[in-house]
Amino acid sequence: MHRRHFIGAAFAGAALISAPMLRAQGRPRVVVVGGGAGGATVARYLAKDSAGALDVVLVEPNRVYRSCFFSNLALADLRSPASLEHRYDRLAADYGITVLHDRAVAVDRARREVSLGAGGLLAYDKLVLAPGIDFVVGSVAGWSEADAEVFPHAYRGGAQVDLLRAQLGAMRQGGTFALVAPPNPYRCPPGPYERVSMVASLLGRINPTAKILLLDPKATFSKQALFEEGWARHYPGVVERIGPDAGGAAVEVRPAAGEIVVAGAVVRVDVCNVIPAQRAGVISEAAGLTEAGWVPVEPLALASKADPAVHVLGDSAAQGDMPKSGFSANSQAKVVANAIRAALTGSRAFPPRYTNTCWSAIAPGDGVKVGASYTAGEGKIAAGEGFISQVGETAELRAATYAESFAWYDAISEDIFG
Amino acid sequence: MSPRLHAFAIARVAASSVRAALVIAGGGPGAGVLALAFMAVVGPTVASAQNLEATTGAEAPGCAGVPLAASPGTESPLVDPAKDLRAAIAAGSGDRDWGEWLAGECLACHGLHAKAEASIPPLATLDPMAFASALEEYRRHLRPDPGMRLLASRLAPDEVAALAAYFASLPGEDAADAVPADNR
Repeated sequence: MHRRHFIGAAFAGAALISAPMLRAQGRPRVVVVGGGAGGATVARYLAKDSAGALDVVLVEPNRVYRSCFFSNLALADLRSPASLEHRYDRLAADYGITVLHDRAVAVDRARREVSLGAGGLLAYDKLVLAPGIDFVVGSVAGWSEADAEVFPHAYRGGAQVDLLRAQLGAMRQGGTFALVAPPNPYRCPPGPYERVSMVASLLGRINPTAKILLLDPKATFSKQALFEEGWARHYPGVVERIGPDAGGAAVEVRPAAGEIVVAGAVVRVDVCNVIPAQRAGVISEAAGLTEAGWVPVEPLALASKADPAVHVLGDSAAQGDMPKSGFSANSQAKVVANAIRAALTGSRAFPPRYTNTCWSAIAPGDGVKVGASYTAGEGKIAAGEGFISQVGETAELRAATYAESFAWYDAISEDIFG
Repeated sequence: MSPRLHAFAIARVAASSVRAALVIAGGGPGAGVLALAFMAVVGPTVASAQNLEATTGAEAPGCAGVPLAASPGTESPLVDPAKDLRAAIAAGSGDRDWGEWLAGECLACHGLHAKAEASIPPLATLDPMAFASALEEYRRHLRPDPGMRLLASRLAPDEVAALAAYFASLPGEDAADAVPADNR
């Protein structure tokens, strides 16, 4: 691990901020909201490549980041929760980023200021919003975020994943696990289906007579042939998928009663994972940048179509064809960092390059992947060529793909957090 | 024209010229025949990403079960980079800063630093010439990994030289004589 120490290294904690925090002398300031795969990467690349020429401030409420990617593997005990934890220490100490553990609550785009939950104001020259997802209120009848302690969503990493794992561990023998899948577009397109796979793997070990009910509002889903082949091979008879034609698009949940209602029939469930419809993180809406729940951005460097001083990347961006994955956010972040640095310091600007690969675990040692390159097209990021794992692949190839995903996790974590 | 648009325009020219470069790229005569044979067996590896998700599965092309008849060795590459590219790498004349930018795409999967058990080789251990050979092998479908085939197909020779210059500049601990161990 290489260490770079900057003079006047970062401080952490909102207590040091008093309103308004002025821009440091002469150094342009970039404020990054959100310390996940997109935000932490953009902050790191900005600070690393500008070598002190930019004042980079990262605003992230959590002191410990628990990655959403690979959280499904934690449900099957293939990763420990602790192995998915990342801290911001190196971003502060090695790269000179000011990390503020606070929440951005408002953006005054006319004054170029971000309001913080603790009461401070942050002036910016460029603002990057990478807040991830929030949920669409009322998208699943009978469920609100207040019910997440009973019917968890487990879709933003962290304690919710632990809760779901605990519920699965305590489920009665022969019980029913239900997963309510989200409509498009949503974070991590294979995510709910990898989750079904990982829960099936866990239950096969600790609760072999349990059943899984997958309620899906979509007629088709990412890597469908691969997952269905894998479920038939590894978990025969365990997974029942109810698509939109059979009531999967209009499910009502009753957390207090431990029931769901599908096509008029009441079904008793023992554990229920509700993954609601999604939208851009709420700060995007507070900034007045959303249309139909997401932030339209231009394809060359993900600047908001409404405000070129604000770049929005990762899950919140309506950028075109890239899936809402941590890999995509990391890829977009490097493009954004290069463009912002060029705009503020006159450094070289390079043409954008976008890529994505999503690995999914179907069973321990059985991995698949889908990936593509993307280009800045007419008004959107456009898909180029791609690849996908095939049904009927050898166990050897699947094992190699599975092992590769673990190497990827380590590499992208280093790329995001230093 | 703004600097950014200018750079973009240059890249587009570079991207169109890479296809021509592929046709004439060097390598042993046997390697070319081998590559053609692989192409006949395997067919196209890549497809429109949108079609992939529409079809998922049997219809989508891929590299399932690609026979590694001549498993690309880690010590003696099947294919050498084209002569001009070899010369550029040997001279270290690639554009290092451009290479650093391009390497961002690599770093999403390849860490910079070594992890003994990693199945994806870390960049700081890549020997620049061996790296260029490996890319050429991916481009000719002599190595099976579809993601690397796709990335290799998108890199023009001057981009490979730029990446090589960047890798050569990395302070890798035991980097000097290592080669990519991964032959997927």
